[in-house]
Amino acid sequence: MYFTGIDVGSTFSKSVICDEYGEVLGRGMLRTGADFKERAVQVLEAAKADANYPEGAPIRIIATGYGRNNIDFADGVMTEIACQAKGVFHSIPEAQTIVDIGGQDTKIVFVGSNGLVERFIVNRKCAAGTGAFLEEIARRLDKELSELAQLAQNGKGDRALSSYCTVFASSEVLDLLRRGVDIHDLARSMFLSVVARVMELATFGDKITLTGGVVANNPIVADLIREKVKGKVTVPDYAQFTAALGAAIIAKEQFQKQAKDQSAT
Amino acid sequence: MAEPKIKKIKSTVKMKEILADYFRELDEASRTGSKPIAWCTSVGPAELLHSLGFLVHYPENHGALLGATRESVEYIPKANAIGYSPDICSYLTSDVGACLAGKTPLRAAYNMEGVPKPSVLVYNTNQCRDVEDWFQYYARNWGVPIVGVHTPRGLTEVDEPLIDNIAGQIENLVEPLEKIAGTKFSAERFSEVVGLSRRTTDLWWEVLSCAAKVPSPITFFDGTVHMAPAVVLRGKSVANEYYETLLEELHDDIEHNKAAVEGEQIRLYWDGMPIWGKLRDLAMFFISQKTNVVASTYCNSWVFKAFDAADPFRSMARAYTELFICRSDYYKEDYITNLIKEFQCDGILFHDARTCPNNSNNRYGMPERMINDRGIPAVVIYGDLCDLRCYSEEQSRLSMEAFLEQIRQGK
Repeated sequence: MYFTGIDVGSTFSKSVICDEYGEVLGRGMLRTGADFKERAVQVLEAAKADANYPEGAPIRIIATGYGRNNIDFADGVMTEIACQAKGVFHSIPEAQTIVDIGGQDTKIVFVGSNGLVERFIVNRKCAAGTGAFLEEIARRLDKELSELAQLAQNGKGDRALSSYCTVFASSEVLDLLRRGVDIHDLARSMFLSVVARVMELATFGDKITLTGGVVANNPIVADLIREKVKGKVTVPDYAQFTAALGAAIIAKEQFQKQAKDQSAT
Repeated sequence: MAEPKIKKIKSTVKMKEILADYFRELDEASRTGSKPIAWCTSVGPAELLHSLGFLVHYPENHGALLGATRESVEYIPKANAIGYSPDICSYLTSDVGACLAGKTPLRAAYNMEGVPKPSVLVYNTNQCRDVEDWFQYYARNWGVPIVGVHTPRGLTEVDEPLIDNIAGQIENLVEPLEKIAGTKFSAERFSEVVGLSRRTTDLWWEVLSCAAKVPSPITFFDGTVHMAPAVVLRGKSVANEYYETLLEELHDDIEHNKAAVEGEQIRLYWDGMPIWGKLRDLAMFFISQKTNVVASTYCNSWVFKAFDAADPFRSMARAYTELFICRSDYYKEDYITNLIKEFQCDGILFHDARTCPNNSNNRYGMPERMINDRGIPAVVIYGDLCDLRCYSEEQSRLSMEAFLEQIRQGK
């Protein structure tokens, strides 16, 4: 039996396949694009290929992420909040604060020592503090985001862009350029801004786990958060896949519970 | 999956009839000048106006109608363009914008000529300052007289000196209103109207209390529709007759275990304004999640337990000052906690309405206090009463679904 989670995120779609013990067998990732269902099929195929999945073998699927309700071939649907909690707790089984910085939104999930979601916070209807913000500023500077992350490593200062609004922040960047601020320092300010917006959402606990594409692709974000908080900051391997992993684990648990219930009757 | 079905409330037919009669009478008076018309804020001194022979139009009701028909989205920018900020009350901007456009959904709904023309504008700032600014727009542009009551907010206690003050302000309205209405104030008639309003409010509370039953025969979304008589017809016997009919139906539902949400599993408390343009979508969403929003701050806002026909001025002052919206967070948190117990709610959903700060109770740390100090699960969604530009469907849906998953995992 194979268990799969498909996370159709705002920017990337991810899929994870695991076995009945929760061991990861394969992963797939593609840009989401416009057709959620088609991309879910493709990302599942990619994960199957990675897992050497024998065609026709029984498989259970849970869909999550922005496009979760479009995946009509899934056996169930869960939010990425529940899936993040499940996926992270699977590899880090302790009470913690999960900070997930995605393409379009940021979520803070407080997980108890039993692995249950105690509460969560989603950013307001605003792109500040998300991947979309970084991409916008990169476009403004005519740089690749990865290049800016490199530049930021050598930046100095503790000045975050102050604007809440991505459009205002773009204007602020222009103003800083006009005043001759060094591009390395400017790039650092941009990432500091993401960190500031995220840290305004909640007071984090002692143990913080960072997930999502922004963290996975820009290690400087985790470095800056470590500078700002007292607690232990962990970035799991495959930080972009934790929600998909959680969805796969939920698929496994639901199947096993059903099997147990059936055998009891 | 089959589309969820909203349980029909049969009494709705009767409610539509009495509302049509109400609007017909207003339209007639507006066309012919047969009776004076007062515009009144929804928790303004309506009883005094009725006693003086005014027909009463409630612009907030019009605002809600503009929101529910989603016409607000078209009209709000027109008010913005003349200097009324997108950040202020979207009832105000919807209503003023509709006026600027020369449009009203009352035409299609009730075949009215337009919004009834006012002889006087009467406000009470118990809700917010925006109601006064709203009426000032019409006072300035149409040269209509404006009078009002200024009520302080953030109250933990409502004490006697404050009641003296508010009752005095209401009494001071009598003289100018008599002149406008061309009638003489009658203490007897006023007392009678306050008595009728008390009966309306008692019956409305009885309707809302039906939702304390498990499963509940009614939802918050039903409440936002069926509260109309309590808002626009309180003080009239026709409102009382309607609620007696509705109660009969709901009691019958309870007796026969008819749930508003089939297979009800989760019960929620809604704090803050409705999202008028999304009522149906949200009702369907919660049905699909086997969740009933059984209690709310909003629908309870037209429950005035203080009304006393024997002491009309002071009891009216108390009723309109001890409202939830005027109170401090200390009071509000106890109030919500008691209702959550009474209605057996599993959690509280705060609606942060972008343009309604006074009725967005999440903004000063209340959700955190409810979670940490009182152990009540809470979530915040961001939207607005009328301005759907402030509402993100996906983000709200994610938060609501995740909140219900969180509640289910603990059950």
